[in-house]
Amino acid sequence: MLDFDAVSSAFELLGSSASAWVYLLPGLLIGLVFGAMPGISITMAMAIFLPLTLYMDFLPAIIFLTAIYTGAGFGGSVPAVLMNIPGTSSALATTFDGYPMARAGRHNEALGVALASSVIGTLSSYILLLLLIVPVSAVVLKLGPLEMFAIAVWGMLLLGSLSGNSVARGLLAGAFGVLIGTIGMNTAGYVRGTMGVPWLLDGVPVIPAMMGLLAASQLLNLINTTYLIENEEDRGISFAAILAGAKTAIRYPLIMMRGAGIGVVIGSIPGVGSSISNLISYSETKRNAPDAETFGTGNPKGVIAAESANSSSEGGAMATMFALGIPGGGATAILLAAFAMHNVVGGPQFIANSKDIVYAIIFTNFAQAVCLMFVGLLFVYAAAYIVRVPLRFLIPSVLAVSTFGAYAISNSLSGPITLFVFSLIGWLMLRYGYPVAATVVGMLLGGLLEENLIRTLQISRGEFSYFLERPGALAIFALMLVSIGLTILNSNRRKRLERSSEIGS
Amino acid sequence: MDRDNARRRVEWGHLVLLALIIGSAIAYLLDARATSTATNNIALVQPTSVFVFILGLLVLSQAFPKTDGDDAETRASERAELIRVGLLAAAFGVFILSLETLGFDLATLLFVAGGLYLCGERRVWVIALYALLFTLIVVSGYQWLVPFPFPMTVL
Repeated sequence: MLDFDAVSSAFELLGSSASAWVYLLPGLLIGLVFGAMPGISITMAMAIFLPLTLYMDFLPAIIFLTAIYTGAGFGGSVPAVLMNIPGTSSALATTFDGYPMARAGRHNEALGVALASSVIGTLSSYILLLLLIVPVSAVVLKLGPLEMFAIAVWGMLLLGSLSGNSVARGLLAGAFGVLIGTIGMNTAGYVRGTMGVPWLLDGVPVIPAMMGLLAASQLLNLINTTYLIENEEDRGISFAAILAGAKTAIRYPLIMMRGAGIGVVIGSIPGVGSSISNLISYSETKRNAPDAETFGTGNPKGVIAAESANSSSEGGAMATMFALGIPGGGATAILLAAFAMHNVVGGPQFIANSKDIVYAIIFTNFAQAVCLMFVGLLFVYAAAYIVRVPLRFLIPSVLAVSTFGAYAISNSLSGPITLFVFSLIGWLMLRYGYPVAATVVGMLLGGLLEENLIRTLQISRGEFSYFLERPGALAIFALMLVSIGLTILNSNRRKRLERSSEIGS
Repeated sequence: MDRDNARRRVEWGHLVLLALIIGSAIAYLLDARATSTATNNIALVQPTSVFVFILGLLVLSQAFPKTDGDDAETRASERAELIRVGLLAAAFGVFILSLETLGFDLATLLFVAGGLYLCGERRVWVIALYALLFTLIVVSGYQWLVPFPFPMTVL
């Protein structure tokens, strides 16, 4: 699996080039700051600094950009935990338990849990990448629309666990989200639901809609509250509590490994990536947890599941980029642009001819993950002070910053208008007990579901036998059914145990 | 619960939300079918819209919850809260619609100042100073970060 000659060349390369290390820390810091700002995506942060890398050698340039990638990947979790704003769709599941933890005065712990899970997720994904780069890329090439559809359906299972007290309201919110996600021109070229608005042809802008549903609606609701954390004694900023949060994360290696595995596999699929992996990991963790009913109310396991999956997706996306030369998303597209700027072409040829460089990049990513732990600790310590800012300052400020972010994403008023409309819908949904997160999940998966359903129908010509020709899709559906079956068995066993202990007492 | 005292009240906001969800699902389905009834167009939209419609009808009764009779004080405080939320939402809407006419700088300054007042800050110098500093920092920060220009009036 490992080419030891290439490994020793990689070490030589890194040992002899100080410039490879110089850009690591600045890259991480840039990523953290940009990632924590609403509306500044990982791609945007990397794109801003791409021209700078023209004056660097190839290896330092890629290390600098991957450090921004790693930093921004975690940076997005900070506003997700503290303000319920998932700066990117990959931090969505972090809000489910991270924000309730912060509101309950466990903000330090939540940030520590998120940081440690991200660091370990990134580390594990690069270890997996080191060992599995070739087989993973072979699997990715075999994935067709039916397999993608199966993955999207797997993501939809999360709707069941987001429903809260009323399953009907949860399903309604989720299905409403799916409809919103399909607005615009579909993959077959049909235009629906745009109401004549030209910018809706590309669909409803997802990030502004997500910010409106999750964050702006919450802010409107908080107008009669004085602080994010109402109890003054709970508003402390504690380094010890952040570290305790990190220790909590380490206590759940199984959740982290499952998250990392899901992250690497889903992250390696072009166009799917971390925005789905965090949802599937959260859903699977909740389904298998003995305390499933506490998910969504501030269970650190939810944060661990989400963060380990979204950060490990980076390794998966890099595997596809290295092995196939295919960008899985915006960030890897920027990396490929940096490759091109240095006259390097990604893909199988690159892996075959430059294994030492690939290994060197993987090894510096180990170093990045370790550095992230220390830099991230200082960063979250400073960021946690937001809980001490009175909400009368925070509410208009965050609404204004979100508007800037929404404009920055769309380069037109379409982003801010979407933000506003969805903040009103989100506020109404919150007020009457509808899970807004279910709508967001539906919205994220709606387009993916429809696109792959149509492609599957086109390829199969409506023949059911096509399913039998796709062992990959059958395996995903079987895994999903096994997972649901085990959940039902576990839950029945738990109920029986509870009943027998009640009778015993 | 004492059945004699239990009355049903209408949650008007809930009804508006359900009307919005059900109405938009029906309108979307009709629009999609008007575009084309080909499978490639309605394979997901049609069943999902019908599902939303049925679920919406099932949930409709929840917009008329039973109540033991409202406490006048609770109702008054709820109304006051709703008015504040409404005012802030209206200010937010005006801010967004004025971004291109007033410019991001001026609109942000006015919205942050107004928002601070609506959220309970009464010291005029704090409102003025905070709104000014915040606008300067955010506007210059985003102008530096984002590769395309934001419409501005002063900055």
